Amino acid sequence: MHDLVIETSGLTRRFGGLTAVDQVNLRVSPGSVYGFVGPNGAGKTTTIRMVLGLIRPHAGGVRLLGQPMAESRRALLGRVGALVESPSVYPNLTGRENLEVTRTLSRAEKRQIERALHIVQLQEAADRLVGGYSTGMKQRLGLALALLNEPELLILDEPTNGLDPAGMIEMRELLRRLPDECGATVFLSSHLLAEVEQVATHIGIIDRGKLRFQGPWEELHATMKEHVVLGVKRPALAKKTLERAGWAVRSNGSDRITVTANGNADAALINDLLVNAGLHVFHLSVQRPTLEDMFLTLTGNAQGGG
Amino acid sequence: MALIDALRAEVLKSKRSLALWMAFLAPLMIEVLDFVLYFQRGYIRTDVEDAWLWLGQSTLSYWSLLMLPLFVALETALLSNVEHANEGWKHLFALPIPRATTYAAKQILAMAISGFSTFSLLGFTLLNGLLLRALRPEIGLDSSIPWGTLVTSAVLVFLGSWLLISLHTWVAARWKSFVVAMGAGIAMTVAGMVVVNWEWGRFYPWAMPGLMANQYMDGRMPVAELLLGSLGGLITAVVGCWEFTRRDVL
Repeated sequence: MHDLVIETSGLTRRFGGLTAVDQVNLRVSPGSVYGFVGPNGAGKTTTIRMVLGLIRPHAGGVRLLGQPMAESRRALLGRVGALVESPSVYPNLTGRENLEVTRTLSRAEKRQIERALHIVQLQEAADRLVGGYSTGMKQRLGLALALLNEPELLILDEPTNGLDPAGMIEMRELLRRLPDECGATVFLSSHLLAEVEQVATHIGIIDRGKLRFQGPWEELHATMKEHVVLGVKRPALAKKTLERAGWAVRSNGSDRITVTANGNADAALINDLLVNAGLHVFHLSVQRPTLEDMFLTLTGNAQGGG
Repeated sequence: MALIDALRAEVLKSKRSLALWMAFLAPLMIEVLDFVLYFQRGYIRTDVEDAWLWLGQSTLSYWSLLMLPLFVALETALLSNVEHANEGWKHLFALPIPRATTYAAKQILAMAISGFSTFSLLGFTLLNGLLLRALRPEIGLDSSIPWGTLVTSAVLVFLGSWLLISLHTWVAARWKSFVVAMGAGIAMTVAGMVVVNWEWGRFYPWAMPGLMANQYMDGRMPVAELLLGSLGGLITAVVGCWEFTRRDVL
């Protein structure tokens, strides 16, 4: 039985009258890519800073790699790599020199610098001053810094911060490769649900300081129903026809209707039903609920449907 | 050893910045000005017996009362600003190196730079004198160089400055603003110019190193100030380190 890589119990932190993090119990399993999502101000960064020991919690504890942070902080941090919000890089040094500074402090081997540069693909720019790097390059350098000591756990707070769409795709590809290439568990936070959806195996949803959901992607997925979206010439009649047959139907305005249904088999059944009733179907698609839909529902901001 | 690693990292971070060069350039600038002045004037001073002693003493006094406190404020501000400006603290404090070691490295480097600059000043003063003597033999630097007195004075200035270095290291780390760190240094140094006229002024940290050197030249070994400067400096460093390292990195 493997220890949980991150385990918090009742983690709490207040700022003045505001409870920024409220009794959060994180459970991150080894080998997973855990997406920690929530809107801006939900408490993601504060939680991460407490996990790393940068901020002291007002209540609760943190265990990393099976051991309490309070007792073995230094040893544990040696097995963890972190990128918290913006990358901490010195503009008057080259990329390689920046890596050398961190390598010196974390006692990593010299060859780790080349390995990290290779993983984030910064070998060519490594000897240029960081002051001249683009935001994307600085972000990749920040990731390289986190990878230097071959961490078992990688904690990335908003890794696509400040990146343009191309940069985001690059970062996403990188993150997808990491568990296989480096054998590390990845814990990443983001307010961009679409990005997390593409890479995560597990999801934790935080809103206003409270953890609303935590578990494997499939589990979250199973709680939400799929839809079949239909385009028909006579939506009102189609709706009545389907409702009489027992389906739950909703109008989307104009000529689209949404039917709560599961998968392609149901879609075919619905299509047959309408066609046999003399109604022409010009559009049909099966919609899987996105993380965004689930998120909106869970945080109580749902606007109908599902 | 972690402290050696931290010091190496600090030196690496100072690459391509003024932080380390200043230790050399600040005293050099003073000496160049002095050289031009004395060369043009043709004599050191008419009313003293030992021109070497006077030259060394006045330069060291000028340096330690005015330049050194400002120099320390600047150096400590630069050493901490490199982290403040680049969000360095959150990265450093998430590495497997004790927070206190990082702080200690910055304090020790500030002390090393200050010491280096003070002894460089002395070295440059002596070179200056030798050059003047070679170019203008009539300048009056005929006596032998009073090594013992001058080196002891420089050591007193260095040890006496530890208190002010510790105070500035803490202020520079604690507040993000470069202006706060430099402003505090300027204000305290200028206040020192006034405080020298007060009987207890010799314990004012920003005037203390300079006044210690003057006292010694006048024949009195400033023991109380030496203890306050060196031991007081070490205690202040430990307290400042403790205070800073237990703060949340928000």
